[in-house]
Amino acid sequence: MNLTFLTPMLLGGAALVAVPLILHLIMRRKPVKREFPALRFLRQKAIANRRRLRLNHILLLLLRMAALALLAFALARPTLRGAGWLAEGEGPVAAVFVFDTAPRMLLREANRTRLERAAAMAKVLFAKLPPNSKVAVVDTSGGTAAFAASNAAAAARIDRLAAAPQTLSLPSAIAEGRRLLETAELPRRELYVFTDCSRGAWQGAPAAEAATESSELYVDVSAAAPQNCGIDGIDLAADTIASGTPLSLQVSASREGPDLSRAIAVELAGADGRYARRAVKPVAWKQGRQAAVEFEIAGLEPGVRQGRVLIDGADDLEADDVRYFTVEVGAPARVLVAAPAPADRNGRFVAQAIAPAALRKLNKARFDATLVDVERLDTTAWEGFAAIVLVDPPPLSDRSWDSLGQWVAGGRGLVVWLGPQAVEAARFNSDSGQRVLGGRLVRVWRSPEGGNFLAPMQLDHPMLAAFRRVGDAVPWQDFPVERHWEFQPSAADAAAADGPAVVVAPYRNGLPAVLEHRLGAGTVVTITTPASQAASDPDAWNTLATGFEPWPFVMLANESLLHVIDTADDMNIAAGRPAVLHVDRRTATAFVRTPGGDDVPVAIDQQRGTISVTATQTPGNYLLRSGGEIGGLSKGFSVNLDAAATDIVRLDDEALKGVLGAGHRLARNEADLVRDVNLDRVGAELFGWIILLAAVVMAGDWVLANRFYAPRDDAVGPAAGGHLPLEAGA
Amino acid sequence: MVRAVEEYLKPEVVRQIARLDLRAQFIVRGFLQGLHASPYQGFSVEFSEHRKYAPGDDPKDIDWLVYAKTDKHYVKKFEAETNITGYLVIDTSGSMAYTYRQQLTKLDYSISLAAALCWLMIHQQDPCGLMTFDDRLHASLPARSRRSQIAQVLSVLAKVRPSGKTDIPRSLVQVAAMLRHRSLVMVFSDLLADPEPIRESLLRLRHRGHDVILFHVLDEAEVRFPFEGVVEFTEPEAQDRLVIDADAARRGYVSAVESFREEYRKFCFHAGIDYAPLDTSMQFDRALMEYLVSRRNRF
Repeated sequence: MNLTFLTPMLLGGAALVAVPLILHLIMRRKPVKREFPALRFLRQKAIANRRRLRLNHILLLLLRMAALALLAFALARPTLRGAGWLAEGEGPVAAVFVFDTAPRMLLREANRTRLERAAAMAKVLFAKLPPNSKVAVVDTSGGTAAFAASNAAAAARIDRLAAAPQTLSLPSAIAEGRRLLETAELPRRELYVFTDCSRGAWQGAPAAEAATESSELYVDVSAAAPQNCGIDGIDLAADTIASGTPLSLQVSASREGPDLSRAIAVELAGADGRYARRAVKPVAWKQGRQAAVEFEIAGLEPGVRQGRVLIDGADDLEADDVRYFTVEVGAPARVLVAAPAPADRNGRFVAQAIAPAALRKLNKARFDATLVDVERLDTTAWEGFAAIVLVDPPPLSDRSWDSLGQWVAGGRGLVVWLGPQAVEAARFNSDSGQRVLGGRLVRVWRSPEGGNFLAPMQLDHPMLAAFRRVGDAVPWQDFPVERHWEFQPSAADAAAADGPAVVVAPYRNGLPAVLEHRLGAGTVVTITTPASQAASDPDAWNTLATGFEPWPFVMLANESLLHVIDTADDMNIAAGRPAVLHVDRRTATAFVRTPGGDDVPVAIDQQRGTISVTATQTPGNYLLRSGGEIGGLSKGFSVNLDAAATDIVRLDDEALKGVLGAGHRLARNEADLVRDVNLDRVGAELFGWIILLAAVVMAGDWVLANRFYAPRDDAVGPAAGGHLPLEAGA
Repeated sequence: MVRAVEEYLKPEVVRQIARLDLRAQFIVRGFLQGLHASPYQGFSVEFSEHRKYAPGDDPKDIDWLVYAKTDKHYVKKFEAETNITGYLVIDTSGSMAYTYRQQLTKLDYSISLAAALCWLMIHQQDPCGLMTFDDRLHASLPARSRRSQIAQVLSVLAKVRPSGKTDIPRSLVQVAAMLRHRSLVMVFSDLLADPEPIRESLLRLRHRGHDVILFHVLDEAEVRFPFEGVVEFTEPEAQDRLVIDADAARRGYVSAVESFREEYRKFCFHAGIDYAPLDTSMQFDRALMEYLVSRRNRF
């Protein structure tokens, strides 16, 4: 807040405070004169009394000086304002208008979207801008931020504002606006932020920054009671599913406003791009509550399948009524399981775990496992396999390791279940072996019976994502591990290209149980205890596969394999994020079909074998095609709005104060806006208050002066000479 | 319609009577009418008394006729002894001219009182004399009990004008020197001077055997200090000036005056002097009562 004066020259009137001082000195008003014989009794108290008298005089003098100073101050018309020490009230300003253009701004209230309301209020501000002002418009869709060549151009930019997925967060856009203002040459700088004050707009915003020199005004374009229902997100059980496996979808939807019942439908896109409804489920919302609906869509044809989940019926915000998804349905991934002879016995636990015979008969197995004797590994053709599982492998030759390393680095997976066959650790720890595994075997670690078992501490690794769903219910302690290899990851600089293996899950004794090693485009997972020994084997290292109901082992075998097979293609991304899809390097050209139906050519990164699509602002399903319809490349991805982009829940006042700062100015309607702008630009005149203060001071002066000097009713002149003549009479 | 008794004794009423003799009669009659079980009854001027002979009395004064009747010795010169010689000693200094209400000055009040007392004494056939002083004695009328003495005293009093500075001790010493017989000395003064010499001079009067009634006459304003605001006070005799905030000074002043009077009261009590603190708003009966009580106590 700054104090300015509309007529600062009149401040010179404050010099008049000298007048009472001069008058006090040269025209001291004489006290009432009285004769009084008993003066002797007064003299005793005279000194203290004189001091008080002098104090009274000084008080009176100060009051009069203060009254004059206040009058001069009031006449100078002081005003309180936010900025503009140097400029006049109607001087030009540099103004930056920051708009939140997230899709949630399309929420329709009173037949007008929030964005339209923001634009209308911005027009009001435009009308109030002094001549020669400079205006810049910044929005969260991220364009170039610069002062417009003219106010008309800026107004046109506001007219063209459209909701778009955010590339800038609102706080970032505000920071951009502030930076722009700092470059302005005009001394008066104003920043206007049009926001719906929603949780989505200010999500993750840092605490309010200290006040800047510019004047900042937030314009709240939200409505008091918005109504909306929307899909917050869809959770796919997997981006890739085997053909014949049903697609599991978990849809969470929320409601803002009164209770409501609607239906949520799942639609799948056909070859012509049209959507066909496959499932509908009713949903009933209670005020402010989330609702979750689960779908299982069976009978998906192999290939890239795209679909959408939508809420039936229209509401105030359409952007969050639909979400898109893409899954890849394919034949079961072929996995080569190599185990010591006899392979069908030693590798059966793993083979059954990843491709149970019952499911294979039904053609519903996730993997197609092929058992092979590890001795014949080198002679087996690896083409067509997505991953190799080494069950209790003996030391391999350097050639074998090199071949495996090269094969994995090409984007395949390798899972190694270490066991007693690796007994010759020195041979096993060849350089080639260490390069593939990302570490070396140290010794066999023995633990007392039942004292050691797998104990994943944190389930944040992608490989353990499936375990997160069952949480702490995994009974690892029922599957003790009595022996395991101590595996030491390589030093960080030893394998600079690929890095060392990292621990995914430890044993209870703290040593690594599951490790992951990125090797080129592929992944190697090492499990330091075997899954090959029968329950009857007295030297069995563990009971992972042979314990009672060994479902944790089955999950571990499947998840480790899924993890190494994962192509890293993220087929469901947030709007604005680049989509990266792995393709065959031999692919020459590719086109992306956008949700709008346009075919856009995209470049292929031959070195990495990927296609990057960056124009992902529009939510919807994108289809990537290359080559012919038959035998050509067919991939796709879905783009959805970030949950924050459609989160319309308004921040409470306390939270708003936290992000906007304690002294923020917030205008809620046009009247607020006009008043606030006037107050800030012209300032609040203090004339009335100061005149009132001056009147109080003058009244005090009057009371004191009367008390000191005013003649009394009973004081009727000098007392002397009151003697009346008497007559003698007698 | 007969006026209420109190009316005769109020200074503001008395002030309206210009003739001093009438004023004196007015006061005394008002006073006497107000008396009920009054000490005045014991002072009838018509009544003669006998007094038992005491050793030291002159034997020739014994009333032998009474002795013949009663076989007891009584002395008969009682009439002369019951008379009391009174002197009205009035301070006429400049300070006595002060009045706040513009009604009775301290001197007017003192003169009215003195006139009433004179009138009362003469009618009791007590000789009454008059002395006035400021810094020294001025008028002096010897004590007489003739009726014409009233006129003479009142004539002198009517001509008194307040002036000059005051020197009470010196004047009282002169008074003491002039009085040869034991007398009742009635001093009217505001005593606004250094108290110690005044006390000494009063003691000197007492040592000479005189009875003293000290009428300490102050103006109403001198007692209550009704001033407000900033006032420049001038002392009428010495012309001293003092600017003061009257409101702030009031409490201290009133307390100082009270302690001043209290000191005089204590002194007079010890010295056997009747002390009558008066101010110009008080009725006259109190002063007259002081006189009568004092007179009775002499016998």
